[in-house]
Order: sequence, then structure tokens, then C-alpha cells
Amino acid sequence: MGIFLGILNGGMNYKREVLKNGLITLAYEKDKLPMITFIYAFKIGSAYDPKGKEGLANLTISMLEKGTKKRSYMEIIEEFAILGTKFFYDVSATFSTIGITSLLENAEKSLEILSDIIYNPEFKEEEFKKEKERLINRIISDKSEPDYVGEVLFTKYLYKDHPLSHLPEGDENSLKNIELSDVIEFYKKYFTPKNSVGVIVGAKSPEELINLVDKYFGKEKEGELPPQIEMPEKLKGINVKIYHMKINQSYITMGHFGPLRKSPDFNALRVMNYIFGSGSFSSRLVEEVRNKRGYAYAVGSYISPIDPFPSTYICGWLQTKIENTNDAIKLVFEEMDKIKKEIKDKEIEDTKGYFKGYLPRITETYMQIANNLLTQELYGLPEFFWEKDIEEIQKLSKKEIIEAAKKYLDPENILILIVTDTSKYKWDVKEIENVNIEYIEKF
Amino acid sequence: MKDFFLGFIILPILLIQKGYYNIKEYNLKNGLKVLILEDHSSPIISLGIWFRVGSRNEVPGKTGISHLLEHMLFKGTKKLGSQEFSKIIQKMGGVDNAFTSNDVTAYWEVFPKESFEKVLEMEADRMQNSIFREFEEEKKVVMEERRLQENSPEGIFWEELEALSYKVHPYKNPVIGWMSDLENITLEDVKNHYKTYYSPNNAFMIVVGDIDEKKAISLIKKYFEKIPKAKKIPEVNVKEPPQIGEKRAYIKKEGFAKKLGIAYHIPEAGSPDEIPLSILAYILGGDRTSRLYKKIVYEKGLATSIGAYADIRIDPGLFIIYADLKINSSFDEVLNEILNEIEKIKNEKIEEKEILKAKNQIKANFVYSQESILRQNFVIGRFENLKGWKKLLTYLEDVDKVNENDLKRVANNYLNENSRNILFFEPILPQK
Repeated sequence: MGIFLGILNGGMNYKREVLKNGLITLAYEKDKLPMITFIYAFKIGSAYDPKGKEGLANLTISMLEKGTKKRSYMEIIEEFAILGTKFFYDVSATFSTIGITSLLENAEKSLEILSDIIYNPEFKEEEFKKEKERLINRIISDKSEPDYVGEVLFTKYLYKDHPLSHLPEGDENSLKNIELSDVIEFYKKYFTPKNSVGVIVGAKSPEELINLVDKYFGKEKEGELPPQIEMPEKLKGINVKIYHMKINQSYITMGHFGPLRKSPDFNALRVMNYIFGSGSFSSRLVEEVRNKRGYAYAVGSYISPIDPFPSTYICGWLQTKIENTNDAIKLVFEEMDKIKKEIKDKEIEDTKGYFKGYLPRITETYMQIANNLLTQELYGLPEFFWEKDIEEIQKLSKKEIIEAAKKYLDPENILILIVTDTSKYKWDVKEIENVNIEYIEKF
Repeated sequence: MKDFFLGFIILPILLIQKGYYNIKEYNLKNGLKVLILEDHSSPIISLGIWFRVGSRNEVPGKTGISHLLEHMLFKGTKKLGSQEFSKIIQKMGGVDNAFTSNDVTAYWEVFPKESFEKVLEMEADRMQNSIFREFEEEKKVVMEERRLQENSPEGIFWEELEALSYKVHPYKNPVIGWMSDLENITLEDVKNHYKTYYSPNNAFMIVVGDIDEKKAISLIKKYFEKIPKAKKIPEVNVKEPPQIGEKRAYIKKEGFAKKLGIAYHIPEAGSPDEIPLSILAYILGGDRTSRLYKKIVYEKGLATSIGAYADIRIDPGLFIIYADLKINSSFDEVLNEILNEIEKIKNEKIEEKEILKAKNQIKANFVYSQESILRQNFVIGRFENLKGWKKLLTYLEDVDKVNENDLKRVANNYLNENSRNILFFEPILPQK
């Protein structure tokens, strides 16, 4: 089976251009269906929230749709709905996205509304109060879900006082501190074309797609580039944090930092991590924790890049009956140790096979292609990196893959977060020594 | 609002005429129905084997057995070891999984087109020769899956709403099963369930992707036609008796989540009222432009989210409205607002624009659904399981026929006090 390089098409269906206003635009022609997907990404995210006002980037992006000089909030969502256009927005630590998927026949109308949202938001006080109140109440309600609590606490203790130590939505107290003037200032400073990337995928030529973006998003808007943020400090030692909830399982998250997405080690780490914990039924964690012992329904490991900061490497994530907690943690540690010592040829061969064959699956939909192109631009990766990655993966040696395990799996400097019923659980893992245990009272 | 936004979207119907969803049906001698849709946009194929069995077919004491059996089908055959099926799919670059619902159990894979024959061979083997290794371990896995549901307010909420709404029909039971049933189900029970329901005449296969239809059917016949059919598949004869008055339930859980759910009984799939009910649900709570969202979330600020949908099933389903309340909001106030909006639908004018918006959303989603070969597989599978795949071909025309009178009729016929179930989910706040 050869590597599928179909979507490149000699680069004829792709174009990158910097518009006069500084907006980097990537256009890709896909004509399977009469539709387009467009994503406008601002290189600003929750890491740039001021201290004490965590959630500002998220609140700012959610305020864009809440009314413009021409349209009210309700008129905006009504217009999208009647066009059958899907409208979406999202915020991560380092960038924020807003975009649409539309039928081709409604593409111009949909882009015009989106342009109005991005360039002419009105930021009405009444809408701001409503949205802030809704988000605060959403967070309060989510605190009843143990997986959400786990995510909040893991992020907090992994990054400590660093700006990455909170989820994009912030918390109820930090949201209370945010005023409408903060939102307006944040928008004016950072939500500019020079600080943004536009990606469009649709059933038109790349030139036509670029012209569309230029027509609706080519407007000048001045602002500032986001400030530099210092690198987070790496964890030292084995840090166990335990938080009480009245539940009948332990929600365990274990991890530390990983490499940058553009690190030359990234593909070796991906292959190692596939064998270790991300390869579904082929992974060692699934085999040991789920199949052999029935300890968990879902278990795995994953890497979340947040360039320019080191990625978050979750090297053990599972939920298990409280009495199995200590044994499950011990198993993950044992597997971290084993993979540094030996990886079988068959495991490597199967993993390479997986990456070789999966390319058409990750370039199938309009949104997948748009997201791949966005990753390419935001992380400074080579053009069509997803194809080049696969070629690189095929060339990796066993030594390089084991080296990645040795370099990036660090059980001696790790955070182990356990959300559990503390009246029924006590840390007792004799095999893991020199542990700093802390019971979290409040978050 | 500008006039040009009031136009019809006519594109999707043209798409059908152009040949999208150009499905070919074959029926094998052993009763296996095969539906093939060629899609050459990517060199991959999605394959689904759908068995007509789900929690609907389960009896008291054995709830969750269909889902447990689904897990056990990954434990190998005489030829393949435990989990080897998935490992082979993965090393091709593919992905596989399965799901169980009230009405169906489906196994699916997406893989490079070159592997089509190998996948067929493995699926045919799995249909008849599964060996249930590591049964006790897998039961523990499913019990952990159930515990996840018990720890989530969301999980508890949906389980309780169904349990409240049905008193006789197996739809009252969760698909994952009750914990004590999971503890008591034996390997013998699971083997019997497999023998009873997993046969070609109780299944259908869907193939979507980069393959020639004639070649596909010839290979499918090669591997599947020799599998013997079952003599008789037990039918589900349980009928939920008419509800004779509103039922209310109050539940509490530690945390901060406050939820309200309302469920009305509605007819089964294939009923002429099905599509009007779906459009009605969209108008009431389909998105942020819906009546309930505007009134309760946006204007009054009583909830953080709200939604409505018609849960269409093989047997009579439910019309569901659900809301996440702000912690200080009153249940009574939210409930009254919802009931008021329902009364308005029954008694006041429904704007043409609201109906058009719902129809346009359905049509646009129909186009978007064809982006992925797996999504197409699921769309076809859902139609086939509930009412026959051919309904897909007339679906958009059927949607277009719905008018204001239809919406008022179904609202008046089904959204009534006597058929109503209300669940109040209250948080037990931590003590300060």
C-alpha cells in the first residue's frame, strides 16, 4: 500500500497569501460538495488573560456575536440559521477561532455577516451582563462533573502561577472581575488582521477563495501584538494532589510537560505514545489496565501542543473503582518504565502501518483540512506537514522511538491528580517513593 | 431582517437528483440486506454491520446485555485473538468501534479501500464464530462505564427521565443496564443473546466509499451468503399503555447542577407525525434562535442552556425538553415559561419564517452530512433501522410539505398534560 498523497494535487488547489491588511490567508479548493468552511483565528488566547481576569479572551470572543452596529445579537443568529449556516467559535490557551460552514450559494452572505461580527462588534452593556452571568452559572454547574473538576485542577497544579494555569472560561470569581471596558480594550488591542490567520476551504479555486476573504476581511484595523509570556516552570518531584467529591470512582490524571509541536522529536514521541497509550486497542495501557484487569472503561495518554509553550503530556488518564486506584497508578508507572527498555519490532511496524493508512481519514472533511492548515500556520510547520509527518514516521528507527520515551516520559517529575471520595481512599503505592501528597481543600 | 434571507434553499433536493445518496440495495439469500453507496472522494471505505437488537429487546434482570455483548464481540473468534480485530484495522490505518442504542447495535470501521476484502472476512467471522474470552474482565469494564454515568449529573438526569416516562416498555431501562443486572448476567446469557439476535436475517450491512458497487456485492456474497439464517427472531410485543396523568419526580445529587426535564409520549418511527414533531422541536428548542432559548435563556436569564428534540424510535418515543437552570432560578418559573410557550404554539400564529428556518437547517445539515463516509453510513443506518432507507430519498420533500397546521395538530395531539413527565434535578450544595 503506497502513501496516499492525493490531496496535494501538486499544490494546484492550495494558495497562501498575506492580504494588504496583514491577514495571512490560506485557501484550499475542495469540490466534493457545494459548501465552504472558513475559520478566522486570532493569535490570542486565554494565556494572555490578565491576572485576576481569567476568562477575558473567552468572554471577548463570545461578545463578538452579541451585536454589531448593523445587527442585533438575535438578528445575527437568526440570519445564520435561516441560511442553514453553521457558526462556531472557540478559545484555547494561545489562539481563538471564529468561523462558519455554509452552503456555497450562501457563502457570500455568511461571510458578510461574519465580517460584520469580527470588524464591527458593538459590545452592548446589557448583552455583556447577560453573557457574563450565563458563563458564571455554566461554570458553577460544570463543577458537579468530576471530569471537568479534574481538568481544572490538573491545569492549575501543572502550571502553578503561570498564565496557562486556568481553562479558557476562567472561574466564577475571575469572571466577576471583568468589566465591559476590559473586553473592549482587549478586542481593540489584539483582535487585528495582523495578528490573525484566515483559512478557507471550499468548492472554488484558491484564487477565488482568497478574493472572497479579501472582499470581506481585507479591512485595515490597527492594534498591538500580544506581549511575550515567559515559559512555565517545570514540575519537580512526584506531586500527588487529591480532591474530594462524593463519587464512586477515582478520576486520575497524570502528566507533565512535553515537547513543542515543531520539535524534531515530535513524531518519534507520537509513535512511542501510540504504542504506550494513545493507540486505542493497540496500546499497552489499554491492554494492561482495561483488557487484562477490567479496571477502566477509558484509559490512555495524549499530547496537547500549545506552542510556543511546551505541550501538555498526559501520560495516564483513567477512571476506576476507588479500590483499584493505587494499583492502576502503579500499573501506569510500570508501563512508563517498561517502554523505555523495550519496544517490539511488531509494535513499531503496526504503528507505522497505522500512520501510513490514516492520511485520507484526516483530510476527508472541509473542517479537517481547514484545521490542518490552521495548525500548519499557527505552529510554523512545513506546508502539508501532515503528509510530511507520515513520511518521517516511516523512517524512524527503534532507537529514536525508545529515546523519545526516555526523554519525555518522566515519572520522577510528575503531577498525579486524583478526584475521588477521600473518605474511602488513601494513597498507598509502596513502589512509588518520595511522594509529595496534598489534599486540596478548595478550588 | 432583509428580505433576501427569506429564500428557500433548493440545493439539497438537486443534490439527490444529481445522484447523492444514490444507494443500491441487495438482499442476500440468507436475509442479509446490503446497502451500497459509492463515494470516490477519498480512497477509503466505511463499513457498518447493524443488528436489529438493543435495550428494547431486553427482559427484566438482563438489562444491559445487548451492550455487554457488543463489548464481547471484540474478544475474538477461533481465528482471531482478543482485540485482534481492532488491531488489524488499526495497522491498516483504519479505525473501528461499535455502539448500542435502544433499538440497534452497530459495528463500524473506516479503512483504506485496499483492505475491503480483509475487513469483510473478519466481519463475517465475527457474525458467526465469536468466542467470548475474558468475560469477567470485560464485565468489570462495563461496570466502570456505568459508574461514569452514575457520577455525572448529566448521566443520572437522562437515566431518570426515561425511567419516569415509561413504566412497562423496556425503554424505561438504560442501554448500559442496571448495576445489579450487570453483576448477575452470565456468560451463558450473553452467548444466548448472540445466538438469538446475531444472524444475517436480523442485520443489514452498509458500505459507503471508494469501491465499485458490483465488485463490493460480489465480495460480500463470497463471505456472507454462506452464513445460515436464524429460524425465528423474537419480536418485541410490549406496549406502553397510555399515560393517564402527569407524573413528576424529584431527585437530588451533591454538586451544583440544577436541571429540568419534560418528556411527552409521541408515536413510533414512520408515523406521519414524525417530521412535524421534529420541526416543532426545532422551533421550540432546536438552537439559540428557538422560542425557548430566546425566552428562558436570553430574555429572562433563568437557564444557561435549553433544548428540545423528538426522540424517534422503533416503538413510541418521547418529545423531550431539557434545561440547565441557573442555581438560583425557580423550577416553577422555568416550567411555567416552557408550558406557556407550548400553549402559544397550539393557539397562536407560527410565523412562516420560523418554519422556513427549521426546514433550511434540515436541508443544509443534509448536505453537510455527506462530507464524511462514516456520517453517511450512520444517516443511512438510522433511516434503515427505523423506517427503511428509501424514506431518505423523499425526506427533504416530506420536510417541505409540513405546514403550520401540521405543527399545531401535533402540538395539540401530543404535548398534553396527561402524557407529560417532569423531572426536577436538584443539587445538594456543599455545606459551608
